[in-house]
Amino acid sequence: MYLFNLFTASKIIDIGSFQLAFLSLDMDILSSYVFMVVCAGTMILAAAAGAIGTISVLKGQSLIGDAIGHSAYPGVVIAFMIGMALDPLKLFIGAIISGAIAFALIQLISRHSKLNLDATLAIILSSFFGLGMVLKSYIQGHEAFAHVSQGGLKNYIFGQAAYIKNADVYLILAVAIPSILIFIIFYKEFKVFIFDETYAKSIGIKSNFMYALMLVITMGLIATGLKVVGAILISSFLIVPAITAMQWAQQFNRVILIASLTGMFSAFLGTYISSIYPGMSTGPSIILVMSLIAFLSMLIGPRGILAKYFRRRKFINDKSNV
Amino acid sequence: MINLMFKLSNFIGLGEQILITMIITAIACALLGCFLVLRKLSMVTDALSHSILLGIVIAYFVTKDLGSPFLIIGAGIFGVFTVYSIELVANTGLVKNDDAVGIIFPLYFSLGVILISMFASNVHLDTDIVLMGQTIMIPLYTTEFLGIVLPKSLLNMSIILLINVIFILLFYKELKVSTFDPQQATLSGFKSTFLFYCLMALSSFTAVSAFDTVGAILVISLFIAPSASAYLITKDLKYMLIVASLYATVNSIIGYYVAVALNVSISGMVAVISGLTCFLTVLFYENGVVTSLLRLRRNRRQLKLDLVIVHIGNHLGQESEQLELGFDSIANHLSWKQERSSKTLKRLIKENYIVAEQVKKIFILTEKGQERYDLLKTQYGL
Amino acid sequence: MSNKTIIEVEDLTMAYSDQPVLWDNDVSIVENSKTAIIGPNGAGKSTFLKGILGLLPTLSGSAHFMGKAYKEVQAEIAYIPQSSEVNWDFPTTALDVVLMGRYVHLGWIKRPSQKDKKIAEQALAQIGMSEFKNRQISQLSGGQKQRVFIARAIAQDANIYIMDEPLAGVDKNTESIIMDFLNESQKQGKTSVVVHHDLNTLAEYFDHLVIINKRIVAQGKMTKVLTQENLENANMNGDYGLDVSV
Repeated sequence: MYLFNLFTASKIIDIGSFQLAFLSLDMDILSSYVFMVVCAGTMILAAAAGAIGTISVLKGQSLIGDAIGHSAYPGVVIAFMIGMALDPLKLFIGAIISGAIAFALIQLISRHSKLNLDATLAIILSSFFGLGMVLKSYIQGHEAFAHVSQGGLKNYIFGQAAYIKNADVYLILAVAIPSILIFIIFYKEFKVFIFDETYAKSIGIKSNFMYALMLVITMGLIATGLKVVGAILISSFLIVPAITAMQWAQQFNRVILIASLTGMFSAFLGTYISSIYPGMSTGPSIILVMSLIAFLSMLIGPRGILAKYFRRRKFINDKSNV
Repeated sequence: MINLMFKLSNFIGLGEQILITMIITAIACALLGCFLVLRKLSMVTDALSHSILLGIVIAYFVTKDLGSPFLIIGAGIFGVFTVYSIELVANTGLVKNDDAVGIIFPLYFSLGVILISMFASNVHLDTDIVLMGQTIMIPLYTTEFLGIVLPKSLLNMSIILLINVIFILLFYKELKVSTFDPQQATLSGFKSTFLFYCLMALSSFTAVSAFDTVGAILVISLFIAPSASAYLITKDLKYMLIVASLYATVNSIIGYYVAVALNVSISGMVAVISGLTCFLTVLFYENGVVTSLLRLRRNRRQLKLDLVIVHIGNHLGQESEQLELGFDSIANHLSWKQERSSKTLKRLIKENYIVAEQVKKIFILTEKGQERYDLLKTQYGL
Repeated sequence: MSNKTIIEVEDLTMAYSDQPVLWDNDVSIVENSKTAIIGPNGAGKSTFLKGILGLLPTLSGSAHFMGKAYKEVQAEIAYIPQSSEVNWDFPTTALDVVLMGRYVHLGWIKRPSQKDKKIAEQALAQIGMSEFKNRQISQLSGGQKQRVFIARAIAQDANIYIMDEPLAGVDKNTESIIMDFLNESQKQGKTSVVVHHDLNTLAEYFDHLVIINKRIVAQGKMTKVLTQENLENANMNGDYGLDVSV
C-alpha cells in the first residue's frame, strides 16, 4: 500500500474530501503506471471470475469455491518451501494441486458418507487452512528458511493487490483467457448441463466431463486470485457478481455479461478507492463495492424487495378500489 | 497476600495450561457443533467465525480495551446479527441459502479487515492472530478467580462450557425435537425460532471467546469436525454429544503434542488433526468409504452370481433357451465381456449352482441352483 | 400399426450400489405404439428408462433402438426427465429451453441458427405456448413448464419419445394438449413410451402396456395386459383404490 501513498500523498487528506475526490476521478492516480497495472490485473480477474462464477452459483456450488479458496493456501506454502522463492507461477501450481486434492476429498466424503456437503466443506476448509498455518509457522521457526524473504506468503491469505506486477497480470491473462474461451466453446453444453443435467446426459453430454471442465476453470481463477484477494475472500469474486446479475437478467447470456461487467466495475472502483485512502486494502475494498452493488440490486432490482413491496401495495389498493 | 493465593501455574506447567484450555474450548464448541451439524448449519459457523472479526473491531472502538468483557458481549451480539442477516437475505427468496452465506461473510470480513488496517493497525489485532489466535500466549494473561490465579482464557472458556452444558441439559428435549422436526416442534408448542437463535447466540459467544485463543479458522474445525465424526458413528443424540467431546479431547491432545514437537502453530495443528481423525472415521466406520466399498464388492460378486441364476431360471424351458443360455451366447445376452461371464459361470459351476448340459449345449440349474432361484424370487418379490 | 419392435431390451438388470432394483428384464416396445409403463412406487420405472438410455449403469443386459445402440441414434430419441430433476432457478426463457432440443443436432461450438429458432417457435405454437415464449421458465405454472418440455421434445424432431411421468401434477388442459400431441405423433408414425400413474385414464390414453415391479410382470397390448390379475401380481391393487373390472 505504501507504494501508492507516494503517488497519492497529496490527495489523502481527510474523509471530508472523499466526495470531491470521488466525483472528479483523480487523473494523477488514474494515469499512474502502478495504478494501471493493478487495475488491469484486478479488472481482468474480476471479469473472468464474474462470468465463470455464474456456473458454480447456478449449479448450487457457491460454497465449494469458498472451501477450495481456503484449501489452496497450504499448496502455496509448500510450493514456496520447495522453490524457496515467491515465484508466482510455482505458487499458482501449488495452489492448484492443493485445491484439487481438497475438491477430490470433498467429493469423496460427501458422496460416500452420510455427512452432508455443508459439514464436509467446513471440515476440509478448516483442516486445509490449518495445515497452511502449520506450514507457515514451521517456515518462520526454521533456520533453513531464515534467509528467504517470506513476508509475501501472508499476502496469499488476505491478498495484496497493490503488489501486482506485470508478471502477475500476464499470469492472470494466461488463466483468464483460456477459461473464458473454454466457457465460450462449451457455452451450449454448460447451459443444458446446469439447467437439466439428466436431459443433457440423454443427448450425449457427459456429466463428469462437464464437472471437470467447471472445476478446471474455477480452480484456475481461484489460484490466480489468491495473490489479489487472498484465500479467504477469493470466493466472493465468483459468487457476488453472479448474485447481482441474477437480480437483473432472466437469460443466461445476460447474467454472464452483467456478472462480468459488475465484477470489472467493482474491481476498478475498489482499486481506485484503495489507492486514495491509506490502509484500505484493495481486495476487501473491491469486495465491499461488489457486495454493496449486490445488496442494492436485491433492493431495487425488477424482482427486488422494493418492487415486491410496491406490487403488494398496488394489489391492496386495487382491491380496496373494487 | 500473594503467598496465600493459589496459583495454578505452581501446580501445572505452562504447556499443560494451554492444553487444558484447548480441551475445554474444544468440548464447548463440539457440544454445540452437534446441533449445527444435525441442522445442516455447518457453513454458518464459517460465516460466523469470519464475521465476528468485524464484531470485535466495532466492539473495540466502543470499549477501547481488548481485554474488556464487553468486547466479548458486543462481538457475540454481532455474531447473532450475522446469522440474522443471512436468514434475512435468504428469506427474500432472491438468493439461495448457500449464496446468502457466501455474500454476507465476505462483506463483514472485508469491513473488518479494512477497519483494522485503517484505524486499528497500532492495536494488537494482527491478522495472524485473527486467523490462528494466540494459543501460545494463553498462560501469560492470567486473572484471579475465587482466589485462584489462572489463565484468563481458561476461565472464560470454562464459563462458556458451563453455560453450554446447562443450556443443553435444560433444553435437551426441546433441542432434540426442534433439530429433527422443526415443524413438529412449533406445533407442539416449542418456539423453534427462539431455540434457533438461542443456539446461534451461544455459538456466537463460544466462537468469540474461543477466537482470541484459537482463531477464526480453528473455531470452524472445533465446531464441526468432532461432531461430524460423532454423527457418523453414533445413532443417539446423547451418545453423539459424548463421543463428540471425546473426539474434541483426543484431537486437542494429539494436536498439541505434535505441534510442540515440531515447534509449529498449535491451533493449526489441532485443526489438521481434527480433519484427519474425521477423515479416518469417514473411511473406516461401519458404513465408511473403505468398509462399505469392501462390502459392496463382496455383495456385487454375489449379486452377479444371483443374476445369472435368475437369468437361467427365467429362461429355462422357454423356446429361447438355446439362445439365452447357450454356451457361447449367454455372455452376449447379458452384455458381458466373455472373460467376465466365463469367470462367473466357472464360479457357479464350482459352487454347484449350475451345470453345463451337453446335449442342448446350454447351462441349467442344479437342485441347489433351483433352491437359490426360488429363494431369490421370494426374497425380491419377483 | 405394425408389430415390429422398435426398442428391444434384453436381460436388463440394474442395481443401486449393491441393492438390485430391476431383475433380468426383457421388454419389446412395438413401433408406432403409445406404450405406458406402470408399476407401484419403487418398482424401478424411472430406473428402467434411465437404464435403457444409458443414464445409469447397468449390471447386465442391453437396449437397442431400431436395432442400434442408444449412442448411435440419440438424436432420434427425445427424453423428458421428471420435472423434479430440473434446476428451476436457471435464468432462461421458455423459447430458450425449447431451443435446447436442437442442441443434439448441432456440433461443438456451433450456435443455433435462425432455422433452429423457427423450429423452436413452431414447437411452442404447437402446444399453445407461443405467448409465453419470452417468459422466464421459473414463472410458468407446473402444466406450462411441462408443455415447454414437450415442445423441447418436438423441436428435437425425434422418432421416439420417452417421458417420465409427464402428466404428474399438470392441469386438465395441459393433459389434453400432451395427449393430443402423442396422438398426432402416432399418426406421423412415431413411438412413445410414457411412465404413467393414473389407472383411470390408462386404457383411454395408451394402446400398449408394460407393468413393472422389479421385473416385468406383463407386457403387450393394453386390452390383453390390463387385467386385475396382472395388477395384483405387481402389488398394485390397493395402491390406487381402483376397481379394474373393465
